[in-house]
Amino acid sequence: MSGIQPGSVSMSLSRRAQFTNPEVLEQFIAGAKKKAQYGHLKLFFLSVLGGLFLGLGALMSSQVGGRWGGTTGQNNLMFGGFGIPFGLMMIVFTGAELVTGNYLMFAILMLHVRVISQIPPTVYRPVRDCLSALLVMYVVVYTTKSK
Amino acid sequence: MYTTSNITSTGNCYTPILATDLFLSPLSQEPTPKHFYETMRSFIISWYGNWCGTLLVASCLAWQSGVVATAYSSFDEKPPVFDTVAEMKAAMTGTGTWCSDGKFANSNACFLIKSTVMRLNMDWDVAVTRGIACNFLVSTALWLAQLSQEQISKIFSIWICIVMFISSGFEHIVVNQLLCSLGMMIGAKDYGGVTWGDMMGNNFIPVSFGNFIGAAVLAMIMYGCYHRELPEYIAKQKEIHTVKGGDVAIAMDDKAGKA
Repeated sequence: MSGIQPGSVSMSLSRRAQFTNPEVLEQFIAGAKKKAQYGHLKLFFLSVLGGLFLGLGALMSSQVGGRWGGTTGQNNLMFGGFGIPFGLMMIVFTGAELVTGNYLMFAILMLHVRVISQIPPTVYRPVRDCLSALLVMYVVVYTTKSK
Repeated sequence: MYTTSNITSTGNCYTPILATDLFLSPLSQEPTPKHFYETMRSFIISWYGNWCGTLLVASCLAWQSGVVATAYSSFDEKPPVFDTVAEMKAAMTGTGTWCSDGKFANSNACFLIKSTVMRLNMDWDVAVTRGIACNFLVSTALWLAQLSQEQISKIFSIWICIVMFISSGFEHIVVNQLLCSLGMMIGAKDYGGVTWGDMMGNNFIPVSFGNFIGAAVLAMIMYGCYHRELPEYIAKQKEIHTVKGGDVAIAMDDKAGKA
């Protein structure tokens, strides 16, 4: 303990292991606003980088998981356990763009700026009713049809 | 500290969602058409950018470099493994043949071709549902990674969620962009009679749609639960509840103050 400099103990104690959920929400909103400022080319090339990372990960998955395993279960575990997670880790750490990550961040931003309240009711209500009807049709009629 | 905040806000979850507080709550920012445009722009450019990246991997790094064997492909410049499509079909459907020969040397190509044909013949409802489940887990991975402060914590958070969705067999649009493109290049279109239009119509569009719904579901739940603890929201509440002409602020939402 003698090697610890004054102040470092309190600093390490005050450092938390993780953020809170509201802080993460705030970070996502700020991140989406920052991404919205990107130029077309920057967005495109960061997306290509994301595609390269996840593509290389999926290629490793198919090279290893595609050959491995005597059963489908082992094969699935090898396919999902190595390769694709590495690609997503690279994307998260390098700040590359992934379309599914953008879905989350911009959905949060849309909720935050209340974009749905902007849609006029003449457009919003028919679409909502049509989707609700389709959902009911699908759940009640299609999934319960007799063979 | 954060445990208390988690408990109080989780107990408060259902009210904002059910009361459509999500769309009506007095937040600090007014919506503009620019936000919708930026969102659509980001979705479209990153979708095509991701596909360009995966096509680079599929065409240059996997197919042209020869790490994945070409079974039979009519647009392949290199000589295919099989002379005819019928020969390829016979070798891939029989037992103890090309897919398991040579200590499973070509079973990765076999796997790619068969999984591509399976994916491209998928029904829309199956593809959308698998896409929803997939991106719910991917979004959870991103959320957990953002929650962590150390890199090793982020790595483990991502790993558990991705293993869950891939091993379960759910569909991720960018992963499919690689697997289906590569599968089509090395012979799926000859083996299964599928086309590039099938790839777009039967897989990419429904899976993208499902992925968006999965992310939106997580976003709605998390936003509904925690938006009352955002500093902007608390400041706005203070502003609303401050009595004009005096400095007295009436008791605001006490749960929001514990963030």
